[in-house]
Amino acid sequence: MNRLSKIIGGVFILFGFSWWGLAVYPYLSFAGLKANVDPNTKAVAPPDVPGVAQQGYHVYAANGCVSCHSQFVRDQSEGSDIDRKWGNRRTVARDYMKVDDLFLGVSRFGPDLTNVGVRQKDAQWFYRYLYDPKLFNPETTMPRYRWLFKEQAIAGESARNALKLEGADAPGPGYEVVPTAEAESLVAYLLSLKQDYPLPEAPEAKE
Amino acid sequence: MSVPNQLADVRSDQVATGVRSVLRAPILLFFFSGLFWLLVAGALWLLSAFQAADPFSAWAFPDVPWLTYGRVYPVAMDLLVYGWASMIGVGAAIWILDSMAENPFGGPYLPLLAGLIWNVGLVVGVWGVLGGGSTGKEWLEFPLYSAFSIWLGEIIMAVWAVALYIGRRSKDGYISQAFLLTAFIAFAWAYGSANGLLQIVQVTGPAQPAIHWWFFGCLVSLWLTPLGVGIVYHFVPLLVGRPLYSAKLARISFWGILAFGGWTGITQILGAPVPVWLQTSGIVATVLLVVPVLAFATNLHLTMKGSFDLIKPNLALRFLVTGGMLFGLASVWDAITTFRSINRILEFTLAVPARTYLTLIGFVTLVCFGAIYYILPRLVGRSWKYTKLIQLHFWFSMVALGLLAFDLTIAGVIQGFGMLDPQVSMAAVIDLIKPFLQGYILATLLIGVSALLGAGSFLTVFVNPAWAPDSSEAPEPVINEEVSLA
Repeated sequence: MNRLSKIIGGVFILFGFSWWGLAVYPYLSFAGLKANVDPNTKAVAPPDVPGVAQQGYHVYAANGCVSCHSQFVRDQSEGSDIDRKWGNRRTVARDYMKVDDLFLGVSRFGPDLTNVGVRQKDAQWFYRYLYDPKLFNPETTMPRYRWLFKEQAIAGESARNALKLEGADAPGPGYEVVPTAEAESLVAYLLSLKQDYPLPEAPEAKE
Repeated sequence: MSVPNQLADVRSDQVATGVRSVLRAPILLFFFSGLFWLLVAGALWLLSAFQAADPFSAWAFPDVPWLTYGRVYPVAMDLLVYGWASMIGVGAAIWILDSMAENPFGGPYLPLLAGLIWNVGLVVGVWGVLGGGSTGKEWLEFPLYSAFSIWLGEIIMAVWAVALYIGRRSKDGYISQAFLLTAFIAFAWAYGSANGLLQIVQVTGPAQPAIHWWFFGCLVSLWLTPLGVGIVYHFVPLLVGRPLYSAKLARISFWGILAFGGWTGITQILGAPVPVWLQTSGIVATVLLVVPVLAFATNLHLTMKGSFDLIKPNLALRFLVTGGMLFGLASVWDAITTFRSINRILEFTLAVPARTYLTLIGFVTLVCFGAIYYILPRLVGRSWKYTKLIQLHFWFSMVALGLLAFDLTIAGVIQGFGMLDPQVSMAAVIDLIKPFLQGYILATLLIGVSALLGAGSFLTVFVNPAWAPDSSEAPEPVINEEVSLA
């Protein structure tokens, strides 16, 4: 016969060991991470994530961006991420210490987004990309996210963040396409994705 | 010994010796639910495949937010796991644990309640993720209210299973009981812990990947695997009319899967900012896991030896044995591709989901259907009317799985080498694998068809009023011979 205590004991000891190693240990050991303060410039790394960008977490999650985009740069020995200019150094744990909701991703059906805020600093670029990815690559497999935008009549002056659209995408005369609050927070989040500060544990890769 | 060569070879009086009739309702509830979710998952998966190939065609619903790829595909995968595989596995576990326990007190109400709560969790989960409430964590997308329902249903089943086991009359233990009880306890722990830490406690960012992918390893290796292995260990000896070949190999497979399974998930994100020793432990565990899995596959082979002819007429056995053997293959493939030299090519490519599908669509799904084809006629006391339909189902499943695995693995290798060369732009890499996305659509279409064939076969039992013909001379055993863990 098989005693229940043996099965339960086995689960607790053998399975519990993996729980300790992969859940409890990271939880405890990463809780005490401290930001790096440059002794000369007093610059804090990593910087705080702006509040509006934090609101973008749930838009990124809701639309499943993580299905196709990863958010970590591997060491040069592990792949060509750095050669592809997706970052000039590998990602380390401290890079995420101020991120409440992390979307690492295991699929690269599109480019890595770890440093997309370094590559593109213009919110307008992101808006147009989300509205119609075909503007940038006619062969793209990225879906468009038009429900993050709304078309409205131009009241007096056109809105400051109205999308610059031409051709088939352009709204009718007297109308403009503007991002919703969701799109604004998503783009703020994407703009905040940049690991362009130095950390001593991750020196910049050499060419 | 003469072996029954028909699928359904039992009369209703034998049903009572297999499982008590009071448990008919909960088992049927879990089976019907599982098949329903399989069909939903298949439809959504097919849609997501269209979207992956061309997100702008009218087929892809480009401007419907709740049908965008990033919501549809995760829901399809979650339903495959938490809807289809889990619910069929639980239904089969009710049968197995009850038939081994000979406990007259295990009532139907707790499993019925668990099944209802579980379904509620899935419905609100699908609603939540499609509606934009996804957590954005792969395999854990269901928002808290949904995950809690599923977890509660699972806890109720775990309590029921342990209580049944404690009150059992038959003291002969068998290895399938150990696997199923382990699955119930480990999954309750893993799913509760992962959702609790990531959604309630909201641990700091750097700790999230380890917890998240620890859970994925548990989901596959300590929930779906022990359910599937327990089912195979239980029904194959009964169907070939011989005891399990080796108790020792069975023990190796049990303790090995329990020891290594929890560490394997972290290999999905090698190179991520997770302590290197944890990543290396994951690689070592994935390689070591081959030992217990091959112990299982060898045991299965030696139990079957001399009786392989039976898989021709006996379709339940055919599904179970094929599924079990595919598990061996999947585990070896996991181990090969986890080495850093190979992983650096295949990581992030379509070869990674292909690897998961080999376990999920190959091993788990085939074993689930094997369990259905064994249990259902015995449960309702009717025979399968259209065995040709089940044969068709089997061959459709095999072709679909083969196409899916080969197509995505080859695409993944091309994608991997493309991404390794920084001169090739990402857009060019995707252009290279576009032809394979057509094969992917075809594969998901075939999977949908085979799901329909399976569900159709399931229903034919209910339109056939005939008792099964009594083709066996000796009655089939209903209890396995003892295999203890000591």
